[in-house]
Amino acid sequence: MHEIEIKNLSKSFIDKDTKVDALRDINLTVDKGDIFGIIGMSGAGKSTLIRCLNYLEKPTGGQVIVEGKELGQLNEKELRVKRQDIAMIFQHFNLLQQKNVIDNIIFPLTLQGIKKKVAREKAFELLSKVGLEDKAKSYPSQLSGGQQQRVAIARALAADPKILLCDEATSALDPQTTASILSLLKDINKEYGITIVLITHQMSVVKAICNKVAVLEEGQLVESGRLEEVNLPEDKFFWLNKENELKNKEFAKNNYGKEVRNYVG
Amino acid sequence: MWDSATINMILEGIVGTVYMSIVSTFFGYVFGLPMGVLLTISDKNGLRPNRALYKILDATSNVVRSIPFVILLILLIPFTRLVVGKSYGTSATIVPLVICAAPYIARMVESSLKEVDDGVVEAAKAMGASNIQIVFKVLLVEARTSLITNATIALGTVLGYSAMAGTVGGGGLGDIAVRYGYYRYQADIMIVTVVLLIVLFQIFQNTGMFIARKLNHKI
Amino acid sequence: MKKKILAGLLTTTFAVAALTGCGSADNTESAAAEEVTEAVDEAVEASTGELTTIKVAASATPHAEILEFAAPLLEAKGYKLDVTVFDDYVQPNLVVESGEFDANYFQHVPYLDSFNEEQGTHLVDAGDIHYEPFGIYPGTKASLDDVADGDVIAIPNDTTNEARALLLLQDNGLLTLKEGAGLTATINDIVENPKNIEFQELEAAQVARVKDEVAFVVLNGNYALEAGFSVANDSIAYESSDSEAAKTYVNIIAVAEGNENNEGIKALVDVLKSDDVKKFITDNYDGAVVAFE
Repeated sequence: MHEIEIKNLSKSFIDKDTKVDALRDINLTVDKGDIFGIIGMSGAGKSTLIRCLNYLEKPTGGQVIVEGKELGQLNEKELRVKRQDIAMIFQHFNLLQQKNVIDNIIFPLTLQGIKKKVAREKAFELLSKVGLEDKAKSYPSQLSGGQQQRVAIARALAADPKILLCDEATSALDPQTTASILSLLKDINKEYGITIVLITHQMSVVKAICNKVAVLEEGQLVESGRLEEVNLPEDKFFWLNKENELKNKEFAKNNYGKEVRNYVG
Repeated sequence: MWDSATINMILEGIVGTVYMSIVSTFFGYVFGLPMGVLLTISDKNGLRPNRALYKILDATSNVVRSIPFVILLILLIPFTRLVVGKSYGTSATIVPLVICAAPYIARMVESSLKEVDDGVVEAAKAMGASNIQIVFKVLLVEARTSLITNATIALGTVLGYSAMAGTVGGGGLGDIAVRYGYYRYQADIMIVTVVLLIVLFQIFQNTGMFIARKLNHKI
Repeated sequence: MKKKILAGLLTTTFAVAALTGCGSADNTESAAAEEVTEAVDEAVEASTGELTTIKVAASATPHAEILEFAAPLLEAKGYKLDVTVFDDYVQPNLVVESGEFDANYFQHVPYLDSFNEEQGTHLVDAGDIHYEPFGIYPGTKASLDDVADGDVIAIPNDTTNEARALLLLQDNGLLTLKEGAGLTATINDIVENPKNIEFQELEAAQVARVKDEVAFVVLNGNYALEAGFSVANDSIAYESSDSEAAKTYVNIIAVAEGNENNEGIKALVDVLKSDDVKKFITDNYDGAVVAFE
């Protein structure tokens, strides 16, 4: 059984009179223990795709099957329970600003009604796992981006998920921090056996940690398979750093005839 | 002029004003807070969009806010009598004050809750939070600074409206200012009451802002 | 250039015409005023002869109604009464000041005094005719004998009405006001309140509406009528003619200074204070209007 199976998935948005097909006929399988990278340019539909994996976006067609359960068949309550197995981290971390680090990590546990004392023990454990033992009482606004993402990872792990979805998790971070977060993700994958699905526009991320990769272009999968087997279109995806950012924007504009609006994001 | 009866009247006025403002604002939130939450979640990008419910709440809040307070005071007399047993006096003033304040409060709550970062709400959803958990554990908690700041504003506004309480014998400083300062040309009483109102307003304002600042952990 | 000259000429002509017009109008008016005065004087000299007209400006209710009733009585004395109803409270004074009218009947003395002061007019009180009394009306209790400790009595909260209410309550032995509190009294001026009555001040229009919730209400006549009270039958007590309020707020016949002793005016006042008119007032206004003694 595949950990995640995506069959004929499509998603379109209807905005007034115009219909936009964000995803078209996506077929994909992710196996247990994979670190699966989905790479694509801004506007390719990556974010929509990853949000379909926990049904934050409801697909307009096709199926998403997670551990043998088709998400579309679940009712609201079953879906909420299922989501506890599918953790997610975000580009902008999305921590609760009014809660300190430890309370942020406890948060998913309190949602499940777990006793605060038990939750706190676990939270401190996870906090040391991500290397922020001394920041327990700090508030997110007092932390750097990398630290906030570590807290977000600790929070994601609190509910013992089977899958971790990473939505551009390193896109707002500098290259050094990116590297350290990626190595943390790799550790987690190894240590807890958590399947990771990440979306990114950074080729470096895919190359650094993924064992499988899929390439998304304008809502369609153009390549998918093991990292070493897939013919990655090197010229289309970029290292993200200050020196080549502008050049790449120009490049994208010239080669694809459209502005890359949200290049960093 | 500054005999004991006058001084007593002013002291009672202070008590009346504080009592009316605080109790009315409190009950204003008892009704306005749920209404604001419902407005937020039933709106088209809310947690559970419901066009009909949103339209009804929206229209209700707009209608009540359009009615001049003095008219509301009179219109609500039978209702007031039903609720507090009499249609005159300080407690009777609280009923129309609450009804007048609740829609304003609902709107302010709505705007506070809509300030909460969508990403945080999305994160909670991804963790499997129910809508009720999102409202109580995310929206209201994350928006608390803004909610408290707005509560301070609501309290100040209710304080202002309570000046019209004299119509139904509600008393309070505002009523004294109107009747002695305006009707009877007793400038000294008017000045004293107005200064007291300003002081009360400042105390409310500073306390509210202090609490809001203490509780805020976002920069 | 020609146009300019023409325009200038035209303007001058109009200006002159306008000025002349004004002047002549002034003349006619004062002449008319003189005529009226002369006519009145003549009428006095030859009271048995042709009827002399007395022009009176009045408010509709009850003033004009009372005057209409008085007209035939006055005719018997040789005067024709010409009543014009005014809706506002400024014009009636101005037309008497200018001499277009001989008298007006709509106001009380405090209003007349402040009007004279503000507008520089010279009008005087020629006779006190009626007042519209404040009354104590039943709420949950019907008799002042039943007043118990802690009862609530609703009174208006504006300056004169509150004072009139308190004075009336004082006259009925429910409280004692500070010496000299008079027509500016407030509840702060109460020095004795033997029954520990709670005096609830409300907007005047609001007082009648709480009648089912308080022991008594104190109201002016028009509000009492609107609230469905019969002033004559329902009021427990009302202001008497010798009360300070009645003396102050009695409605008067006002005339230009110097005319107060004209025979015509005297005759008018006499008729208005006659027993026939008093009976008319008693019969028609249900106690909301009371002839001033």
